[in-house]
Amino acid sequence: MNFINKLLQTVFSALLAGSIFSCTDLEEQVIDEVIGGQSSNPESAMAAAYGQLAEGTFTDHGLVFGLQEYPTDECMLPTRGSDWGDGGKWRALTEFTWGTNNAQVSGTWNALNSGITKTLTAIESLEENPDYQNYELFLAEARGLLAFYTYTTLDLFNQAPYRDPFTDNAPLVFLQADTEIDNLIAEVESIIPSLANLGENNTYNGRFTKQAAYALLADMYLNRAVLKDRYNASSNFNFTEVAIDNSGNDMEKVIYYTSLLIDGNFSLESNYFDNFAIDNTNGSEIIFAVAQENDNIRSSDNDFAYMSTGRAQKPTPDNRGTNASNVEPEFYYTWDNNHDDPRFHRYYQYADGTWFMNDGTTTSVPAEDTRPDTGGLWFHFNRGLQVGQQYGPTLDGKGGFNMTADGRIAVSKLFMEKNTTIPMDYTPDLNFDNPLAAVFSQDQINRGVRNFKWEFDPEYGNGSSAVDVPLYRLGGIYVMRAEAYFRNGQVVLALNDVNTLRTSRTREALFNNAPGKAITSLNEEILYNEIGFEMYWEMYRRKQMIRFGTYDKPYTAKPETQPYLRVFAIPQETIDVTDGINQNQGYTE
Amino acid sequence: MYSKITQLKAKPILISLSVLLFSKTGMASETLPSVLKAYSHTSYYFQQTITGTVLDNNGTPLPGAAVSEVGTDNGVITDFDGKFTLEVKTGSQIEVSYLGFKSLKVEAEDGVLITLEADAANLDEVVLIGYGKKTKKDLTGSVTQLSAEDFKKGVNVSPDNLIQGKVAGVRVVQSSGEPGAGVDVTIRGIGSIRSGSTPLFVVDGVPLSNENVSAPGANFGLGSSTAKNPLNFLNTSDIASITVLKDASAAAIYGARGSNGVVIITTKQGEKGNASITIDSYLSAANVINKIDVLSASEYRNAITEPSYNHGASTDWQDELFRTAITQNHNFSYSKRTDSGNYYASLSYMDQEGIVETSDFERTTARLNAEESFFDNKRLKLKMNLTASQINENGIPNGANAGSDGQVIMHALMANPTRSVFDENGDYTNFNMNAHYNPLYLLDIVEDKTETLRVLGNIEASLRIIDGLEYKFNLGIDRSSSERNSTIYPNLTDRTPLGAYVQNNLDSQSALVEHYLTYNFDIGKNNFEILGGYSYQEFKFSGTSFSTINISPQGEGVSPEYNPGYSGVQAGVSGYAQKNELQSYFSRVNYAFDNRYLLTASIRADGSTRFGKNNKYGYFPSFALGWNIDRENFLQDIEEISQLKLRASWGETGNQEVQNKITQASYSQSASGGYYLYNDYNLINGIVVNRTANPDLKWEVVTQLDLGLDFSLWENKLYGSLDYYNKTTKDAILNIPSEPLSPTTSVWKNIEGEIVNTGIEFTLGSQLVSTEDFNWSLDINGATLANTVKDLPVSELFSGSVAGPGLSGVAANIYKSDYEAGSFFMLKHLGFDEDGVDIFEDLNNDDVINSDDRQIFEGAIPNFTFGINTSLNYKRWDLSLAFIGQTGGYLVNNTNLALNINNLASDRNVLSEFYDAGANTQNTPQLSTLYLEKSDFIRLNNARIGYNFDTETINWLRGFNLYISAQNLFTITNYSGFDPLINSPRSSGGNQSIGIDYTTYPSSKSFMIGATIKL
Repeated sequence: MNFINKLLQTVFSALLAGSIFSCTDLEEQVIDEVIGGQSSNPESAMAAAYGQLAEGTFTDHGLVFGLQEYPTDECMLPTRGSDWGDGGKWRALTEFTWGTNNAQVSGTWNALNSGITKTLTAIESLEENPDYQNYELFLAEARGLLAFYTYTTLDLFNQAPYRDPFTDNAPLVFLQADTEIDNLIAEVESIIPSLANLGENNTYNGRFTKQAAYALLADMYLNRAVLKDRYNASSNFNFTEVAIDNSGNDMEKVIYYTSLLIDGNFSLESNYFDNFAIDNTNGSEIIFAVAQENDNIRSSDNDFAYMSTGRAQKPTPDNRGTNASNVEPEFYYTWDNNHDDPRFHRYYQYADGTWFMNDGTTTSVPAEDTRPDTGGLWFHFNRGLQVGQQYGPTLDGKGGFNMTADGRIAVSKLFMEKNTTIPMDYTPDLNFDNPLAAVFSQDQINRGVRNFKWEFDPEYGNGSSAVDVPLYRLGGIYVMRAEAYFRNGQVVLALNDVNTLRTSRTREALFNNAPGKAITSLNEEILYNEIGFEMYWEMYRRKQMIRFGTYDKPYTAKPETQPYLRVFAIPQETIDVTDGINQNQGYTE
Repeated sequence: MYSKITQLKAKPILISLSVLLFSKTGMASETLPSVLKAYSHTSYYFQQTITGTVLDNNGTPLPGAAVSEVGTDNGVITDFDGKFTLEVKTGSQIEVSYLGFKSLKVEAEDGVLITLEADAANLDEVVLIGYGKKTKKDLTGSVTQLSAEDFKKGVNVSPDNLIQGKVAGVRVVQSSGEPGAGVDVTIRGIGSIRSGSTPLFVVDGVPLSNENVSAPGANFGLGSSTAKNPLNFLNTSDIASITVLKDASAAAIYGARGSNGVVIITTKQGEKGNASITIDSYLSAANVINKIDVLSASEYRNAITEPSYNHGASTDWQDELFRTAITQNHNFSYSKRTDSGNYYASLSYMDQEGIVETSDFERTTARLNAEESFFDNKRLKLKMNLTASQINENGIPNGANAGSDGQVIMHALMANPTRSVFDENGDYTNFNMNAHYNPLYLLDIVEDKTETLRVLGNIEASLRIIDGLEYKFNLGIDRSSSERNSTIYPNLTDRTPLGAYVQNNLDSQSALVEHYLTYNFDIGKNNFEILGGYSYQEFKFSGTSFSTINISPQGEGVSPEYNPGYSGVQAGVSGYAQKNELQSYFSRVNYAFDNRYLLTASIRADGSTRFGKNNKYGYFPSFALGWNIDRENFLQDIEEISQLKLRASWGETGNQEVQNKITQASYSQSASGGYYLYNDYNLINGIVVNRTANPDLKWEVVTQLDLGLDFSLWENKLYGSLDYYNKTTKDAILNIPSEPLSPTTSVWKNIEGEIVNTGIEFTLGSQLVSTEDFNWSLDINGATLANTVKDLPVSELFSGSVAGPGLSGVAANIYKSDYEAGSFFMLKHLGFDEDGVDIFEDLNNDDVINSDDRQIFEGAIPNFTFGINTSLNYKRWDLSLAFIGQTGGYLVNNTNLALNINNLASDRNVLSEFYDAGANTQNTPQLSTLYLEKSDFIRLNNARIGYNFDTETINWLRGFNLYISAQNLFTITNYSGFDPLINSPRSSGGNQSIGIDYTTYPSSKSFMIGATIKL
């Protein structure tokens, strides 16, 4: 009846409208959205600017992570039989054939552009609301965040878009890395007085504080030489150039800013893997992080754990991995004689004392944890690098794990899920059929050591996670200082920092909580490896390799490459629609 | 362009229409302008007044026939009883003409009784055009009209299927074989890169929106079924005629909605004579059109090297999934035409099972069409059309939008044939793998029910102000309401294992008001028809969606469809509401000199809320010329030529089928774009900018040139048309990447560049045999099509995302300057080496096969499409055959790609062809020409044999016809998929995909038996 009433009403009103013969002005009435370019709510504008850090930008494996890690010698995403071909976009990142049309390269460009856009919007919104209570603090933070997005963009793409937010109708310009790096440093140094110390003014490590600024400045000074002389054919970068304020050189600036943090309120975690755990919020090392909560409201990413886990490795009966990314042999073998380093691997101990030995000797573990939203049993894998034959729970076909008679989760030898006859043996060697093509056939999909450094958060499916993603953490600050000391000729101080990291971390109770062992000497190669031990799979490797001159060299699934590939191409689709932008050196359509 | 004629003449629709449009010159007036009469009266001395009666060949009076004194402008029309009174010069002749009948000249005598013979000449047929009608011989545009007997026979849910294979240059391709699935109708090629090349459908004068009217489905990772055909609400038995306006001259009167062509649908009216009742029923049985050749259980056991992949059973999963599907359709109608009006009322019920278990489509419709005339000489005519339909559907968990986990059909094709449907406990066998499920289990755990009610009604008033001048008013309402309940119950897969329920609702409504004036008059041999009008249409649609997760198991408690709150956790509520308006002014002049030279000019100004501030109105002109050469003296004596006409037209039409709101920036505050801004970790909503504003956005413009020739030879023994067209799209609207620092990463823009479609269309028909006992007619239509994208301002655009594991983000279609729309972009497969390893062409000779080795291949669009229709009548028997076919196009067989050889290494089934070719099971699936196949085919689309019983001895029975019919009886093709006539919707980035077959629901072939009873 309601329908008919409505129909009659409509008929009569339409009749009336028709008889009056009224003309419409054709102004579109939008009834389900708020129309306008931006909001004048600076708090929401700030939330959006920060939120872009997490919109996959620094949390999805295929964006900044994919560009900073997949081309390097420590991480790759090969094609695995029927999986992860995806038109070759992943292997292109490993094989250095991304060209001007790679979807992940353009996705990263767009994500970082959105970060810059949203931050500029936040600045404009603050400018419109000078009486806003957090005006000064937020403006400084927005400028810091803008510098962070811009620096990341310059690092990856050599160019970054900019439009002056303080001038009406300012033109779109493209900042160039070699000149802009100095401006960025000056900009960040200038806002420090207006920033909060971490913890003040309701800030926390998910905000751009004074400490985040110190870390960013250290990072920028460390890479300043590269950004200024990007295509230096012999990677002969001038790391000890005079700093922009003519006070000391770049490395001394790195040492200055890292020391502010090392001498500050942060402390190294004795359990290295706590930095990457579900409950790492407020972690003692974390200076600046992308905050993630697994609340089913704001999306989050579990990629860094999910990607490397095998499909038949099931944290709960309803979860699985993707059997995708693995570490490369070059990186894996740098751990030779260092397998007792607490950062290499850590066994998981269940509450009843059971260790999951992952070697066939553990046949069951207690059913003690459950996934909060489903109640499904939660099996904890070990952390760190996973090598060799894998063991774990298997499905009973009725929606649960196979259990032992006494109600424990049965642990069995695992086989590859897509090829159930192949044991899940994670071999360090990859042995691609074509050494320059990162493609495994179906019977090779087990290959590659996996990295469980990041904890798998099973709640709300495989894709979301409460693990905060550290952008700057104290361990990384130590390796920056060590490298700066080293490049500044202060090798002993560098060795001290390296050993501080080595010996502050302790192993699990199975090994009597033994701390890691110090080393006695340091050269460039050892330093390079030590940096890798501390910072692997944390979106730093590409920068490290370029600084150490290893990026152009041939390694797994790539030949010797040209220096122009040290930066990615501006996506052709952007070139197509943008006046005044030029493609980066070396790339042709 | 027009279709075949038939020997059945004096179509009821024509008779009724001709009340408005009668004279030998085709002008729409009841009497000649009085001015002219007065003029003619002064010229003669010896006048006499005669009266007479005009009858048809059945002896029924013909009201509205034109009677004129030969050689003068003096004339009248007959009244309701077929009578006329005319003053004529003594000894003169009078000519009587009536549409659909041969004109007759007789001596002017008082009391004359004139019987007109039905005219087989198709060029006198009345053809609908926008806001009017014309006789075929007066047409200047490219228009094809089909009447009920021309329609495609068989099980047709929606009217767009009725024209498949019947109209040159019109392609009707289904998006899936699911009952009621969407249909892509393209007229003269692909005019748009963006999705949305559907023609404008006008039903009884009401232009319909092309928006979906059935609620979208939830995607539980297995895909949701494709958008249903919005025209499903029309009962095909109610349809009297379908007219396709192809060229710009014909379509430009619909302005901004005309660029993809216009399809005018009219529904039935009461037939002349006694009231009649028609009962039409059929029963059909359908089966899958063919099965995909995957390995059987025994072949599979031979093929595998790994014994554990032999699970011991022997199952043909296609047989398990597909069934013989029964459709029943019943149609009941009664109608009558009186002297002053007519009515037609119908009820119909259709219950169609899908060939996949559990899917079905049930429709009930009702219609009432009524027309009545009032006042002097029918000065005022009122006409109402009202139809309502209720559609109840059950869907299955599949769709072209399935993720890498695939959908039900793929799971059935891939399922290991040595697995059993049920395990030893009688439960569905659990494959216990992710992304690989027992297909019948998926059917069991998912329910997807949709109910859609749609009502379309309009009222037309036509008032004669003075002779020749008529005011018309048209008011239409189109309203639909749809609710869809999608449930996946808690299950043993890793796809929503705890179950979920989603309810989607969709309400849409459009209202139309039109006023227009037509004025028809003659000055000497000059005939004018002038049209001017105003149209306003408003569209609204709104929807809501809510979902719950973790629902109670199937069969326990209350199903969420009946009480969503019974169990589970609320998991999201959303909604939207949009409206848009179109305001238009249009005008057209038809001018004819001596019926020889014809000119049409029209213009429409269309204003739309969808376009930017700076471009609210678009102007769409057209011009056309026609030359009836057969009327020239130099051809008058050539008897072989019955009709010969040259046509030329040029015009511009527009395309405004883009989303609402895209010219306006908007933002919202949302949790998804927010952040934990403070150390209390409360989520602060962030500003999400939804669009970058573009106040300059305007319509796409299509400029079309058409040159045509219509002919009829040897007294219509051979007749046909030939048309050349060039259709060029400019200012294409695309969602393209935006400049850096725009609020969003893409923006809707009109881009430079063109899409050019050119082709030649022909229709040839012949009445091969015409005797008292035996008639045989044949007609053939065909069209060529060449499509090129030119001068794109971007390097390329991709679309056609390929489905399957390991294929995320792979695009099969490329739009690039100087290539055909729908070109393919992929590796070239050269064969297999001695180990069965794929060999691809290494385009850049770098010894690595990667995405740099992809090449462009043309193309998805068939270069030639054709239809062959023939009918034979022998005494009381009739036989009709309809063939369709196409050549020169390709399909990406995404179904085969999902059945690649690699499956054999992972406990799944494989296409036999790949195994037989010796392909290595370790080959990784990559999009290559191995999966690119020609889509050439010829198909017996329909065959029908009927018998017309002799009912003359039964007083109450006027007709009884029994028939059997077969649809898709055979298809001759090398294509290895289910059906080469398919276009799966795999668009990406808003750009349409062309030529991808990712079978979500295969086509069927069916046999039917039916009866038509007339009382």
